[in-house]
Amino acid sequence: MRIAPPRGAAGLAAAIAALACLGPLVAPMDPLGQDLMRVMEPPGARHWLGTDHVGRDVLSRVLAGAPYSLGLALLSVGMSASTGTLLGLVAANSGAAGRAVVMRLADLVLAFPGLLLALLLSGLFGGGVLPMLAGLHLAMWPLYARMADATATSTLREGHVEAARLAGFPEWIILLRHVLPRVLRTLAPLAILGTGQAIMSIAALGFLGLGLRPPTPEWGAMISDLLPFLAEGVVQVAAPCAAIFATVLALSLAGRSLAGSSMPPRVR
Amino acid sequence: MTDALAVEGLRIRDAGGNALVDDISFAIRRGGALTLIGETGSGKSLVALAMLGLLPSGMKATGTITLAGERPLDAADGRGLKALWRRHLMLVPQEPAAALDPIMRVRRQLALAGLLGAKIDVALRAVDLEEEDGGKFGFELSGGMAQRVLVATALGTGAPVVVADEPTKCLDPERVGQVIGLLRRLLLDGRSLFVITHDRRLAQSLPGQLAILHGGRIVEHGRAEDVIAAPRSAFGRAWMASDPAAWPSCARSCDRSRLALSAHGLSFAWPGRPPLFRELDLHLPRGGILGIDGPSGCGKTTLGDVLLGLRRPSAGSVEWAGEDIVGRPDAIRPMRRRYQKLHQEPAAAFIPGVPLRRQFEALRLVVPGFDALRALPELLDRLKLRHALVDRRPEELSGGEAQRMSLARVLALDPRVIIADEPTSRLDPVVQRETMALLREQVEARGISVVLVSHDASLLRVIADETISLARAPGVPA
Repeated sequence: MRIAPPRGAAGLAAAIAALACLGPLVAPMDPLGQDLMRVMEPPGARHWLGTDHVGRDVLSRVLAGAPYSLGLALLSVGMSASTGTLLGLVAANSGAAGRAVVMRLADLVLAFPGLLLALLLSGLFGGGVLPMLAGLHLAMWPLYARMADATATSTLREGHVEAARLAGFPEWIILLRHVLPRVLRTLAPLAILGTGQAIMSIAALGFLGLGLRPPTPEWGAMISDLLPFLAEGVVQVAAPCAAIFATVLALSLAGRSLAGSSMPPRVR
Repeated sequence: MTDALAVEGLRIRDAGGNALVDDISFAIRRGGALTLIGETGSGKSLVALAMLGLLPSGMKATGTITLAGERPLDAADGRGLKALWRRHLMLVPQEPAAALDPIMRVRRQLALAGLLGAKIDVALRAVDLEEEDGGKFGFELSGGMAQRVLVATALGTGAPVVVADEPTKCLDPERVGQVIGLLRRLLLDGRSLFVITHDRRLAQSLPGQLAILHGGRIVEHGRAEDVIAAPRSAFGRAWMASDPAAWPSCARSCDRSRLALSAHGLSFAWPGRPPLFRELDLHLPRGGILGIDGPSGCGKTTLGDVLLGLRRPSAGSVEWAGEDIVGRPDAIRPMRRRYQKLHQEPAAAFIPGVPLRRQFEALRLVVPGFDALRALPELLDRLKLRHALVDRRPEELSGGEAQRMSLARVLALDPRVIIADEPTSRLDPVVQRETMALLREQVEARGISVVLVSHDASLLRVIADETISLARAPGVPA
């Protein structure tokens, strides 16, 4: 079976990545510059997406917010995926006792609703980037650990691993050359889907005032700031919402097509 | 008498326009059979898939397919062909266990195939299944039972043409006999059979026509008895000569005083199960070939794993060159590389998706002084492999090439003993013969000892110096 190349999704994801890198540079105005004479101005020639409640240009803030929202999401997913991969490989390779320890730890964390842990940590340490990252990391690693463990366990039973053991390859080389590539292939689509979720979580924490501190232009915080003024400025609230929606959609689509193509193509 | 199935000028091309199957025509009369044999990868299964309208996307079929009482259909008309299923055409697929829903009861699966009420019991009885077997789930069936359920489906639906794709693949002789019985029952029932196989015995025991497919063309076609007795094409002759019973036997002498591998009082049991084998003694001299045979599920593979030090026996000892290795990793380590295994699945020893050259180069980490650049060409020559093949990925090789490549990999490790676990059961007879001849050549040239695990007694008779037969373990269904 041939899988259609995921052109649309990849293009969208590339556009958003470019936005994240270049967003702050192409922002037409200072995202932090207030102009109290022009609060809640509707979209016009000067402010394409209008201004917010303290007169900042919304388009500039959405553009400047991209690296924060997307960057933090990628960072938290990268951290959790690394931890998960490491612990998953340890679990798969260290016998029943080692697996039990890692998996019960994962169960313990999974017992909490995802955002609650991040909320707890952020709340405990008074908000900010580091507690938020730590919380997201803590909440997300078990997913990757479980997946890595399952993939590694089944790979370790395959003939090429047995053949490598018989040839006398040390265990770490087997893990590195035979198991890790397969694990990364299954985790990649999961991580991309996870990035979409992380953006939502960061936005949610920002919305609750526990993420990045104002006046940093972060999409979630922007929605939270502008929500009381929804009646006066629909476009201003809709802009960061649309940014989150488009990013999550692009990443989900890219993740789905990657998941479809991560199976090695079979001959016949 | 009209033909139950007629295929006219069937051609199958891949996406690039290369002909995979070229100009195939045949007709099967009512109650008749056609057996199609040929090497692995010659396009046998494609013919069956094309008849069912199931060709993978990208492949194109041309030609006409006519079933009795229907208008001729274009081979490219997948939807039209699919509409003929059940009423006219029934497939008995390669892996019977995979063709049934594991979590659905047999009775319900038969009902979904269109069998109603009492007809289900009649169909089950016809294939020697009990009424209560109908209440079992798919996962509870053994491979043999699953196959019988599929044949029961074919019997019950009344489809006049039954297509069986490699129905005896990887079955032991006893089960092959059962399958032949089942197929004959279909014939007695007045069905027409189209059987694809590379199993010698199956091809010889079905009446009717025999066609030989080679390189996408039918090179020979006639009454089965005639083709078997006097094949006219070169490939046909090679195929008939590949019967191990026809191989020249060779008496060899090996040094009985020096043992490469031995075992004493070996027993193995899975926890809570009766032992697979008990009190087994075996001796493998240097340069000797020891055969192990027995039906599926008798513990042949497990015995191989125990001898390789991969599994601990419940009792007894395994000695590598006189040294006991059971539970002694320190004794295994210095000799690890010298005791090797050839897998049943030919490409199993290679990492999927990684070019073979890289996998060979990695061997220098475990074989001191191994230089793939220098050693590989000679190794490939000896195994009659084209040098360009090492730049492919394992899944891009044919079964025979992959098995020879696996043998090259094992030889690169400079082994003392090779445990070959059914190394040719997935290969067609001609390739099987070539592979076995190469294995024997290497064994003789280098004084390697081999434990050959197989359920083909005639193969072991000509290849092995000595054969140990394991009995079916208690509690394993046939």
